[in-house]
Amino acid sequence: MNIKFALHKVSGQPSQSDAELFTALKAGQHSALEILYDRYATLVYRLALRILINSQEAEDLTQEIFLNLWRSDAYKPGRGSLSSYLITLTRSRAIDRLRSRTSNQKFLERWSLNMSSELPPLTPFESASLEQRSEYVRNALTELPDRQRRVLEMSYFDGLSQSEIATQLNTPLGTVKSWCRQGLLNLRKNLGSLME
Amino acid sequence: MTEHLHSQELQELIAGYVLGDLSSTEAENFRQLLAVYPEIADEVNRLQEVLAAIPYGLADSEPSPNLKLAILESALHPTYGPTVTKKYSSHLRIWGGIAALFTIALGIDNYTVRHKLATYQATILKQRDVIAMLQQPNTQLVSLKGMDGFSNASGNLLMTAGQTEAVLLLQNLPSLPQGKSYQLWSVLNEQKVALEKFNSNQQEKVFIKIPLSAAKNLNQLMITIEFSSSPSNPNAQMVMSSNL
Repeated sequence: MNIKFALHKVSGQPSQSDAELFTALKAGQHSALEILYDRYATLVYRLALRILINSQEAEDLTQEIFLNLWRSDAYKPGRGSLSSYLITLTRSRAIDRLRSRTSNQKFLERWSLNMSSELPPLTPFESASLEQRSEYVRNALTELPDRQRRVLEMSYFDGLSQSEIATQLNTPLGTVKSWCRQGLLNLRKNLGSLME
Repeated sequence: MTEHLHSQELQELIAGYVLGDLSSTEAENFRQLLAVYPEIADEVNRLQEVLAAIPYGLADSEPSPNLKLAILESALHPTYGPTVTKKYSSHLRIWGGIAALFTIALGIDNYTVRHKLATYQATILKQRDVIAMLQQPNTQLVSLKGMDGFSNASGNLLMTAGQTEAVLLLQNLPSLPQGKSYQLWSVLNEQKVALEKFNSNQQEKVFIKIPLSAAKNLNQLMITIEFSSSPSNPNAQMVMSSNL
């Protein structure tokens, strides 16, 4: 084995869970940051790009998110998956940038409602590659009724309140709320046991 | 409660909480229910994971290759604040652009340049990891010495309590030809357990990580030479051993 192979082996161990990598990260191991970047940077960037519609701003935000992970102790593995945390933080910061005001605390409070001292086992979804996860979610989203998918996306990616969505769609607020909630519950149903 | 938990009304209330669209009356109901039935928090967690999965459905797009280097560099220099980081990012892009122009102009294989840069970067990261391990008060070193025709070889296995990996650092160990590799063994109660196959680089150095779960019963270490395609043989030629 030459050194190139050795380094590849070190940085590419698929058996290391996110929680193990995060522990290594907090112990000061820079290579853990590199592996987590390889795992999640594309996802973080795609989300930032979808919300901000600007590749430069999306890259800046991606950088901010990973340096935040490196420097801050905000993430607690017992509270939920790392991918969920990164996505929630990215969305929150991106929408803040979009609105030019700070309101991310609300999102993070919701994210961290449940705090357990034990780590939950990995779900099949968490064990899958980025490509597999993308395929699962695209299929699950495609199976949603159009109106449910549309209001979910308007709420999630555009940061619109349900009142704003109701106005844009010229639909009663109660109906929009129901579509949005049903959309989320149906998405869970469509993803089935992958997320359990 | 299990039956109650799956009622449509409660599920929609939980979905509304996760989506952040509860009215003040619904929010008050939710708080009361959560106080009485703390298991609702598990349902909240599951739905939050589903909500957080939505971005996986986005169209494929990738950040620029420079971004990774910029982030890793910024992490290595903690004095950089966010503003400086942003400037650094811009500078990196500018210098990257200049370097790319020179690369094209000179006809140099840009891939090779980037690959070397990434390799140096990765090497620095691994060295930082080792320094971080050595700074831990509970890091244990197991020394290894060469024998017979490998008497110049030496090195250490570094282990830190609570960490999932050990680091094997060796030097003056000749690189083996294709088809052969070194095999690290753990010896416990005269039983040899195969840990990791590896080879040294052209500078006769080894720098690899080993899953600690495989080496947790570590008592004594030895290294043999193996044929890569054959099963590990504990009686093969021994080239290094520890003195634990």
